Amino acid sequence: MLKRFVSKLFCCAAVVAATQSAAFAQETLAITGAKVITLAGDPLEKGVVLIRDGKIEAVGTDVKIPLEAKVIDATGQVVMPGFIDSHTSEGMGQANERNENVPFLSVVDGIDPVVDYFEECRRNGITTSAILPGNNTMIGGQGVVLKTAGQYVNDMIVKRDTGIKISLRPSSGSRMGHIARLRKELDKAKQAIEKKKSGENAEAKPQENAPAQPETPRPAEGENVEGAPQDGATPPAADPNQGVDALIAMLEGKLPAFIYCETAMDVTTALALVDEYSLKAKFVLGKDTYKAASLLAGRSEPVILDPTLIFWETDPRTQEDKKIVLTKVFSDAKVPFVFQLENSGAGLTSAGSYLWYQAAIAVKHGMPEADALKCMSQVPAKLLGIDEFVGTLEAGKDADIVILSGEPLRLSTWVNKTLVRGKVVYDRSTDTKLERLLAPSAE
Amino acid sequence: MRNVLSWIGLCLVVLVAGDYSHASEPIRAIFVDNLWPGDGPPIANAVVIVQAGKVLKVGPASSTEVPASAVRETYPGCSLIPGLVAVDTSLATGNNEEIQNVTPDQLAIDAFDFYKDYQDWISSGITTAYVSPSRRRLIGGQGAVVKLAGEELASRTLAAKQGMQVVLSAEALQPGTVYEPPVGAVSIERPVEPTRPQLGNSSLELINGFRLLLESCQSAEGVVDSRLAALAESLKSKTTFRIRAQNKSEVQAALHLATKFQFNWVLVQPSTIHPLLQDDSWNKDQLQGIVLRPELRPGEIRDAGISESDDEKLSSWVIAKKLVDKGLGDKIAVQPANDGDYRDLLFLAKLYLRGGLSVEQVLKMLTANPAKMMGLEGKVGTIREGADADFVILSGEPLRDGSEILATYVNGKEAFKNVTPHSEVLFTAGKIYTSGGIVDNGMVAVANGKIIGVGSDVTTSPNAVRRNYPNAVIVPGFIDSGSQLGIGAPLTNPVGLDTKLGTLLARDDEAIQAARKGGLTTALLSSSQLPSPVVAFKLGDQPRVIKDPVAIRMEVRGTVGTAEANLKRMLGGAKQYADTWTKYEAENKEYEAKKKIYDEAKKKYDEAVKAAEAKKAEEAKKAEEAKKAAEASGGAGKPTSETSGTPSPTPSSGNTPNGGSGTTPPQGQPAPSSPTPQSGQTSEAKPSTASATTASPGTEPAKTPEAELKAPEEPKEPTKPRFEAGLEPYRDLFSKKIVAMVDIRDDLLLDVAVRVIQEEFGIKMVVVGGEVAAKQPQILAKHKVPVVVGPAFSKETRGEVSHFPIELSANTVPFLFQSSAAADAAGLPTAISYSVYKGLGRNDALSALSNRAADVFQLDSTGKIEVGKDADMVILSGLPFDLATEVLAVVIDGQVVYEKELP
Repeated sequence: MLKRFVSKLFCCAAVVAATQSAAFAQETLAITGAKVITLAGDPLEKGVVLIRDGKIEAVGTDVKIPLEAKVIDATGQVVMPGFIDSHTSEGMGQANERNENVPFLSVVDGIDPVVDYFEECRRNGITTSAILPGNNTMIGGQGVVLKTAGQYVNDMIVKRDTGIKISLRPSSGSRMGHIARLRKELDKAKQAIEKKKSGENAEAKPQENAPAQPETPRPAEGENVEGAPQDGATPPAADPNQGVDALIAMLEGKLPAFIYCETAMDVTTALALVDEYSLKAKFVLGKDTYKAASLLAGRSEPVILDPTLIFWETDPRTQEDKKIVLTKVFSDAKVPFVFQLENSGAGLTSAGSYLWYQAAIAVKHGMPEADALKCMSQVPAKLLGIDEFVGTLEAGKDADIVILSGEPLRLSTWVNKTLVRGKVVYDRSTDTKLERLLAPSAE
Repeated sequence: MRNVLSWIGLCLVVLVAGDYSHASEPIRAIFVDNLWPGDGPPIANAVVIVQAGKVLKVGPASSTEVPASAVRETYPGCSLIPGLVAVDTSLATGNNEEIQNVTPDQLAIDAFDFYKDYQDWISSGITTAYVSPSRRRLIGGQGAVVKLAGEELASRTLAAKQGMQVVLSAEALQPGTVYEPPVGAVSIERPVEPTRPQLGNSSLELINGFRLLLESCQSAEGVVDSRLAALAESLKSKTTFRIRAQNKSEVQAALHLATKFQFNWVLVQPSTIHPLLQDDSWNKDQLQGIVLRPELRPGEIRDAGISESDDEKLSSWVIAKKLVDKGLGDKIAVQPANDGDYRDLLFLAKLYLRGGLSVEQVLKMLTANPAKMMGLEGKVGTIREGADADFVILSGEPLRDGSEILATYVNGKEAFKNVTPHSEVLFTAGKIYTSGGIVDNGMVAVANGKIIGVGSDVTTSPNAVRRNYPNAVIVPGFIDSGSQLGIGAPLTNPVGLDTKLGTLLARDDEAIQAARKGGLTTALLSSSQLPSPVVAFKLGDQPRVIKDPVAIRMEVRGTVGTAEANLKRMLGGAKQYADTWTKYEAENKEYEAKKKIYDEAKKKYDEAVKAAEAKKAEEAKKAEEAKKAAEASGGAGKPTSETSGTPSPTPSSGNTPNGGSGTTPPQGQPAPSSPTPQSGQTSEAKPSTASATTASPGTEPAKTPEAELKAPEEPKEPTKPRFEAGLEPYRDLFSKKIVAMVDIRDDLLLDVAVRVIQEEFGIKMVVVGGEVAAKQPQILAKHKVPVVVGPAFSKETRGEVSHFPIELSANTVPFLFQSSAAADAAGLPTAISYSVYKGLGRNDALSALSNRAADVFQLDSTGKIEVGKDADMVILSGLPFDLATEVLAVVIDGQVVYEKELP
């Protein structure tokens, strides 16, 4: 039984691989008849999305469909930009939850494209995912933004210099020790920058034989992955700042910081750090942070909410139970936010692992539907700095598209098809896993 | 010129307006009896004016101008002290100790959770706290000072870096000899962090280690180790070092190092201060403070053990005393044994009163001193102009037993209010008229409407509300022995004696509210048409009947002859009625007793009969068998027939109950009386029937079966007399449960009334009519008949004024008072004050209006200030029945129903 299942899986993988390799061939695709929610303007009834070479060529109601175009008739269905998962630690063999202070590590090296997570993403309409180190470290390393379909990591990468993960949850020792150590690391990087500046000044005038400082921090795009092991092979004495490079980039505003704040008091600390070191930060929030929502109002830092959007708290003195709805608290405080997925997006049976379920909760508690839809792709794209490529359905952007069976926030709606770069990477009609899950138990 | 002047005037107006106009928040003025500014003597009757979280003005209420727009809050009898400053707490969360022994760069503020609820602290009066880093490491890091409440987080941090924490005492020993860095944290810079030995295996190591660290910070080459950067920085920036040093050598070392390295320091928890006292050459300005710890915990027996012969180890209060003597009193702060004990900081601080320090000095150790120690002088810890409006309101004087925190204000906002339900109220006054005499400076504890304690010292529950009336006099609530209060209007209709007037009482009667302002708490009500029933009730918001009826009020009038005849006829008829009932009741009682005995006897009798029958049957059977046997064996059966045949010779006599005659009745009563079934029911036959019935069952077991067989006769139920509602109250009258109030207008009738009512009919009577009574006091004195005096208390005849109460008192006639009024009843005590002015004994008058009235009318629950009585009290500004005295408050059933408004 199991063997059969596994072999089937292999078959599936092979099919996916085949379509993938064909992706680079010239191809024109048209999705017709659907309601198109572009998120760039008003939804189009019976709109057409024309795709060529993995990019969107045109979106509209009167788009002329070329003869050679393959047509997907999506009449009665809804077409949306592919969803974006703004923060997860899945997609790796194992996330870094142990090494405290490793700003130089990158998630890219740990990505496993065939891990279940990506499959679940495609099934749930997620086409882009920001993968970052876990919440249990201090400086856990660098994250990456990936497409959720691809055979090799390099095919999937959307943005390499996504940011550095910093967690304020004490991993070992005392809380004040944790913050003191973090500050020390940041100070070290700051000093390195100052040293570099004064070094450059000195260099410009008297002598040229000073040890070669890297002109700029290593460009995060490109050679980083390949370069790192090679650098490691050469004696480390050559570059004393090597370990701090990433932090320097962060302090110089070239790399954003994803700061995990577990509790409300972490938010105050995070804000103090952001101001003190002028960081370009994005806040990954825990449940308890709702108490500090007012502090985040009026700040420019984007906010990623805890996956658990509704929970109860008991007042320790009055023993009264209070229901907390995170989306409502943050909406009321006028803090824009995006969602995270429960179980990091894995787990077919947990409602919170569907991005549209999270959006539906927000709508139920007062968020306008149009805004909630934007929180699934357009806002996260901006947050991750990839809105140039994805997030809306507009000509010139990547053809990352979800075709839904109905209105997006309905419980009965399914993802019918998911397209990444113009290729169908998920089709419900051939999803045997889902079929089996939903089939009345025969066995 | 005038133009210019008016311009200036306008400007001034604008300026003044501007001064108050940034008041989106209202100005508040808080009035208290005592205000302790924290750094000076208390101000009596003070006001503190608060705006925008700051103290705008503070001073005596008399001389401090309160802006008209201010919201006034008054706390009568209360004290106000500055919010307490906790000098050292472990409020930093997640404070699991670091492995490293030297971490000067750690900041306690990083681990202080502003979002946590600190209500426990606020409710204990603590508004500001020093948050300490690790207290178990040589150099634990830097502390912070925070407010424990407040909306704005930014303003809650008073100092983010306050004090480098150094521990030279034993707590810092053994942090782990070797520091092992966490495994696995790879870094390119330092792939494997080396393990390294740590300081702190012995006290010597700690002290010398600290010295070395300081030296390295001051070395010429600059700081070598980056870990010490923070230490060097604080040394340079003159940060205060909080040095925990306990024994002599540690204190000595701390003093020495402070002198050598020229840093400001705070000495924490020394058990000796000899090094500071011995030598006077050290710089006192460098020492910012000394934190003392009281060696006790609230409510615990502390077993200190037998200390090693350490003569230099001193109690903390002794140290405090020595420091004060040395002129260092301004530097002392107090830290309890643990964070939890801060709840009772005010109690623990009392320890320092032992050394003879004043309350002011000790309070300073909890407020102004710690604030100053942390460089926050003038901001917190004192109440003065411009300081943060952080203060605590206490129900009494600070450090006084029983003083309770009623409210805590932080930045001018109420952060805590005591809402514990107060079941107990404690009234204190300069003089209390109790049933046991006058108590000076006493108190009355009241709970659930009853007095639960009276005296100069009373046990109270911790959350009792105190109502302090210094110099006031507490007397029992006044009883008006005749009023028209209760139903909204005078009762002038004839009322049947069966009417329960108590059911007619109206709620929220304005007349009642007016009357009790005079101190009346209980009143009697009857119709002006006599005879009438009288009800006694309390003058609460909801009148509470305490006895209904309490008396029958009747009138004796006419000529001497007719009056006597009428009275006799009326009372005679009533007496007859009452007597028949009395008789019936006696009979009925007897009947019930008998019935009970009968029921028992009957039960036993039935059983006995059954048993006898069974025995008989058996005997008959036996006899038959014997007969058969005898028949069979001839004449040999004779002896057996003798034994078994014993019943056979007596059956003829055994048939009558008298057959028991063989068993002489123990009482020796004439036998015939008991068997006659019907005659025994009358009262004359009582004893015999009773004895007969009791005797027979009592003797039965030992006697022959014949005795048992006597059936007990059933007693007869007495017939109930006719019920007459109109005559019912007389039954209580004749049984002396209630009294007769007899209105007499003619002194000639006095004699008749007393003779007939009290002597002939045995009724307890009260004469109503002071004037009449005052003419013939001897008759009343002889029979000890009380007199109700009022509403007139004196009369002028031919230029001679007769004061009825005085006359009566002189003749030992007990007297009471009545107002015969509705709302004007409030004036009763004032009216009496004229008699007192003219010579009536004050206590006599008071008694007439309280306990004597209660005794006469048998109102057991009121009239006295005594444990167990209802809490009916009047609080007077001076002695009772003095025209200069006014009523401050009236308490009925424990509720303050009237309180004089403060000016």
